[in-house]
Amino acid sequence: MDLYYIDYISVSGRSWLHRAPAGIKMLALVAIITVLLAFESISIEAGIALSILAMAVSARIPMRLYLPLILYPVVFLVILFLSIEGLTWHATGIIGLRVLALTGTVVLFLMTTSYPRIFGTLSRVLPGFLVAALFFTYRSIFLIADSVVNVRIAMHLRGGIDWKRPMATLRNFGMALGHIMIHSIDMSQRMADGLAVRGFANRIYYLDGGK
Amino acid sequence: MSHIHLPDGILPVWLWAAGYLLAFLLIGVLWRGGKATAEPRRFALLGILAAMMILVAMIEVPPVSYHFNLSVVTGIILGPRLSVLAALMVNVILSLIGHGGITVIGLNTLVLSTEMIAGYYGFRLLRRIGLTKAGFMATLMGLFLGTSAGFGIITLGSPWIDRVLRAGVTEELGPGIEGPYLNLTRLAILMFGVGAAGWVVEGILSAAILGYLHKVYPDVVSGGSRAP
Repeated sequence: MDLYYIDYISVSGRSWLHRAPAGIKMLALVAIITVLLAFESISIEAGIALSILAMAVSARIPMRLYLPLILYPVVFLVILFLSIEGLTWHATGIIGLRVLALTGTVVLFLMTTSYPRIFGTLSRVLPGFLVAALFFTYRSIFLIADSVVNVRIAMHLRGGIDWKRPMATLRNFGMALGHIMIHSIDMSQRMADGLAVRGFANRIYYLDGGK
Repeated sequence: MSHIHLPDGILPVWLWAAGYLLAFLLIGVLWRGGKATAEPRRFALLGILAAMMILVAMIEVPPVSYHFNLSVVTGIILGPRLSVLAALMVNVILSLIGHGGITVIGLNTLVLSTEMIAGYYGFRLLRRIGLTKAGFMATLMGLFLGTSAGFGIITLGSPWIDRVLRAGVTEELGPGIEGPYLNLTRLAILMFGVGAAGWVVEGILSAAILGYLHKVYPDVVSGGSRAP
């Protein structure tokens, strides 16, 4: 599960980018996004994309994880480019490089800043209930990730996934997800009760303010 | 694919800023300044189902990089009010790992909310034709409307996309054509054509999930009102 690995890298990394304050990195992220959106120049976009890649290397981000993540928008770009009449190399470069540079910047930010630090910083500007909802969602990912992986392995081992029989596979997959959903709903209710006992009132507090 | 996450950098600033504004306005109205969150059980349910959407979105189905998103099933369980917040949570976390842009979180939230809310009302409307059939049809309806919303957003941004495409182009491509442009008809064929296959697959999956939930935990699919 990629999220486990991403979380591990962002929390346990010791590079200069990992040590930089989350607030400063967030401001840098906004500045880079602004520059990329303000200028329509291949050289500026390529320069920023290469700089971001160099920063990722210097922060020791594993490229086999980083590159597939920043290439995800290619699926959308292919659909967009196939829809363009008279597409030129220049236009392909302008749009493609901009999208890849922006995605690379955002993913690098996440891989060098843990979610709790991001949420802690956001808690200064966003309403408490939104930050609490983000925290609940993020925490829940790790609570149920094991169930998803275990059910998937069990389905493989018992022959539940066979794409030569798509209808049966989809039905099996649906029932497996239904099973995880019920397990998850029960778990969420226990989590809510636990939080209520501890005095949860629509807000998660971060001791270091997300620094 | 049943759902496309718009990436950063392809839409004009006014459009994605309006997306943020609309999404937060919708959340503000539906959540009345956060007072409605004094229900920890519903709040935890929102978190766990949003997490499930994120995890399922990360399971790729071979041979193409298709993934499920469970938006309609989640919409049916959560109901409209919680769905909008769940859509925002999913898009914030997915955008940080490259699935959809950070600038277009508002727009992607509106698209995903459309799927979830349309699926919820579609399911309630069709419930009398049978649970699995209603689940299948509601999923098709939700995903069709979600894709339409995504297409509508790109259509609104197309004059700006055309301007970016023509930057640096000096020669004419043909009579009346000043340079490259986004062919919306072709985009519609690609989005709705490829999407339709995904909607059917997601519809079958949703129907199977709802059928299982109805057997084991009937209250969960009662329209969201009696869910925990």
